[in-house]
Amino acid sequence: MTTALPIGSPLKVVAIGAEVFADALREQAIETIQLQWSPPADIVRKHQRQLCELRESPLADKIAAANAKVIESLLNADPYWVDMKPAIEVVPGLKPNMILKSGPPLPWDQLCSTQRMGICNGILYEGLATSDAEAEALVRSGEVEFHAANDFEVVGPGAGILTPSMIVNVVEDRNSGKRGYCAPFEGPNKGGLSGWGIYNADIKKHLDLLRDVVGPIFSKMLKRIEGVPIKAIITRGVEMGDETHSRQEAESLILINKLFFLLFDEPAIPSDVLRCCVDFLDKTPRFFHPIGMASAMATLQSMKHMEYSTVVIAQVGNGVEYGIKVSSLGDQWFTAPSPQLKGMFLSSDTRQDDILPWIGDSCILEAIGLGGFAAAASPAVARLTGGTFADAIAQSREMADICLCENRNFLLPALDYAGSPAGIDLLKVLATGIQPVLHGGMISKTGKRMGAGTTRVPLACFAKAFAAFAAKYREEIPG
Amino acid sequence: MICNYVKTNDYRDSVFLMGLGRRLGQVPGLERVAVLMATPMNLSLLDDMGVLGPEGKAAGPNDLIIAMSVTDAETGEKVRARLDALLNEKKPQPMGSGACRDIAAALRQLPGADLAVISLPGEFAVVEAEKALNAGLNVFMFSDNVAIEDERKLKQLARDKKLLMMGPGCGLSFLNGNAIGLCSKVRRGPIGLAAASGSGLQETMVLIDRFGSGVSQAIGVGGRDLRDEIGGITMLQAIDILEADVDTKVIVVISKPPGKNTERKIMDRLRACSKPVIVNFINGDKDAIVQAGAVATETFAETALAAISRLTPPVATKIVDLSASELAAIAASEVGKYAPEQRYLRGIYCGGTLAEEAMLIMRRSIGDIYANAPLSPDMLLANPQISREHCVIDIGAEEFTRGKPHAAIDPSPRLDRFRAEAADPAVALILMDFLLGYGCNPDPAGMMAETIAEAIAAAGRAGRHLSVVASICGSELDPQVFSAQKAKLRAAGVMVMDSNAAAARLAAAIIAMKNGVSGGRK
Repeated sequence: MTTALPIGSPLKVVAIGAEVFADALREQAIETIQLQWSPPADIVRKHQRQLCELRESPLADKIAAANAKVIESLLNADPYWVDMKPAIEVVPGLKPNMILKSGPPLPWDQLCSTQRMGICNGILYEGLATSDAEAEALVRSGEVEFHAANDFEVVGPGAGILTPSMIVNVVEDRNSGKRGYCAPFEGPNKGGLSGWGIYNADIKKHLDLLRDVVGPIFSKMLKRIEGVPIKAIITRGVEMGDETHSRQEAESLILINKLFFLLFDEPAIPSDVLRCCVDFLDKTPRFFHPIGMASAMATLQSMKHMEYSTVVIAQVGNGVEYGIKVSSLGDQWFTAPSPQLKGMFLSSDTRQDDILPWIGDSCILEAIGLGGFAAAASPAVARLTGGTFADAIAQSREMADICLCENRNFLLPALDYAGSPAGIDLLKVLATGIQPVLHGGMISKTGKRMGAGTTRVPLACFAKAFAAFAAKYREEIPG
Repeated sequence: MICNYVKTNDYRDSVFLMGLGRRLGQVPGLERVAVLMATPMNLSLLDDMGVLGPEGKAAGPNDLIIAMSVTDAETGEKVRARLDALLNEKKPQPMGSGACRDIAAALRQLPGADLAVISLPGEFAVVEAEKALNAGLNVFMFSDNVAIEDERKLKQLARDKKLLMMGPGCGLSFLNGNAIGLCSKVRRGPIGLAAASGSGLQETMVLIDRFGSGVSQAIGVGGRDLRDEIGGITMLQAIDILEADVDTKVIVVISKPPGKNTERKIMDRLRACSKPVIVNFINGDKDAIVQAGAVATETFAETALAAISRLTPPVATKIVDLSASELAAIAASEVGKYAPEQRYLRGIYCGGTLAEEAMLIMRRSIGDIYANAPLSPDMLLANPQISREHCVIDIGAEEFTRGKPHAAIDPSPRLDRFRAEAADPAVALILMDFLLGYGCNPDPAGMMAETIAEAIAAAGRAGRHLSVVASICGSELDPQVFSAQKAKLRAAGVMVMDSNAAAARLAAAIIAMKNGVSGGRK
């Protein structure tokens, strides 16, 4: 057997480590790439070998095929806003004695005070108790249950409180038939019961109004027009400077503009009711946001339960823990302590300590390529989060390193109309150590709005998910 | 005829859509085409253009409409297909940070890459090397501190994949004329080398070049390859490659004495080798080499000469070695200038194997030599920072380089050591090596020259005489240029010899004469 030197001519080199070696090769005009290598986090390091083995195993093809299918669902998702109904009427599995809240599940005693307050206030709003103490007793006795909204296809931004009688926007992915739900924002009442867990007479009045007056009109109208297609609104919004998580200015305007005319065409609305509906549109800041979130949820539901797929289909926090779900691992949660946000404060005397670690489900938007992943769409948000636009562009590019596709539905003008990176791959996150970046608002430990910023999903979530993935498919993993 | 195609709920920016027509180009049978969002205004535009059909009229503002006037339906279908392709065309510029964080990303940017050069800390180096081998790359690993079992696994993996795992602890390789690692560039020629010693390989290569021949391939295998735990996996591959290589006429094998089992394996392989083989097992057993039909040599200069001497047709060597009488004359001249208390030799080396070679040569005439990497354990310096009697320091050893670049890259630790030795009134002579090559310090001679000249002058002022003897391990093709480095050292008062062995012989001759022929250790 002839053994040739297994080195080609011209030589092409990948250099890893001290740059002096790459320089020495380049000096000889040898084509050389220097890896931008940095010591991996312990968690990443621990899994390198297994990732290597996985990549070389027959399982790799199955993973690739499964992920391709999941990405097809992601790209072909066609969400329509189809209804606005009390949650109990439309959310599968929801019962009259249940309150939903954001983030992964957590025992009562470990919940942050914002969520405990929100759950008690939700019980008060439902009329199941008349005092906080009574409400807490109902929870402790198990008569009232509280659950992770994400487990019910519901998006809970902020504290994420949803009670059975509150109305939700219903968004349906016409491609898969899957649905996502999210309560509308509470008009002039800031975060309200849903977002910040607060409750007072004004909030009750507004929630009642939405349920009894506005909701039915919108429900009828949405049925009449067979739903409002949302994808195109986001496509246009992203081209107009929305990253759709911290900013949905254009999207809200596009949608509200359309809704004014639809309301005008809606037959037989008494003028005082019409006024309520118009007020709802006019006085609800970021009106589009819950609909965008519900669209993301419907899309992610269509990506769920694909055997072998390593795509992240949920990433949410509750102020204490942050949790992710992975397509092939269904509804299993993989959690780590919730990360702190960094960014800009509203008030000069705010301290980092005052900020609650990440709370809320809004960051599922990032899982379909919006928010922090579409940072390059939004110069305004770049400033809001304390960075430059160049940082935002770099951020979108960086996220592409852990994603499986460019979402052609959301084109980024600043990146030559490349699609926003989408489809977070558990394996890529662990291989690169790049953590998904999230845009979000900051709320204080006492439920006040403090500012806006960014954070990253903890690597430990991915490490735990990988362990579960490896355990599930261990017979197919060599070594 | 009018053809309309509607893509429902597919929003595209109008500037993008307007560009499509131009990119579509000429299609026979196509009279006119417009691609627009079906807003009422655009529908009326299409109507004015005479391309709006019933399907188009029914479209809504979120729908994309391809409206055209064509001679036949087939053309319409063709145009639609081409526009569809343009609509879904992939951006030529891939997304991503462009940062190559892993080998997979690097391979996307540099398809066909065939070598990974790894100089990470040991534990990380192993992971990256495994990734590289699995991706089909050969590996050159400068890193050391790799667990021996990891080394064996990597080398086995490489062998299974018909790849070379050069290292861990591989200083240099010279492959297809490319200097890899901290490596001299030498002329190409008929001699192929495989070596488990970085500075030994470099010295032999540059001497082959200096003596008038050249190198086909020089494969570094890593310092531990011939230990029994590894079994010479890479060395055996390298011998196979050199034997098969048509440009290689003579093979040189260099290593510290191998493990017993490995030595047997290597010798069996060499016995079956169809080409002449020269083996230098640095202070190792020669009998086995000779029994295997190979030539055993002691110094690297000898190795280079032996290799050249086996070439046909013969190559005239340009060797200027000093005769015994010439050595004696220089020695006499130096010895005459010393103060009575000056009697010791100090070596300060960057190349570990060169230090060893020098000690092996000098021990014969000046006796035992203290060292931080001594020839026998009883000669280990208690404190490597403080010399005693005759002493050779390998400044590239770990105790000097911890947390710093290799001494060949940054020989600055040598400056202080040189000053200390030169100021010692008992020191008569300092012996040094200078490593040239790609990746090495850009001017090692220039860096030392001033300090050397000052030290020689200071010794003179103090009524002493300091001899400085050196060799330069480098070639005319190196970025530092051998002759230029030599000139700088000569100008500083250094006696520059053609090889490390010659430098060691001269140093030993001087010191032996100073201390009486049988001198050395008391």
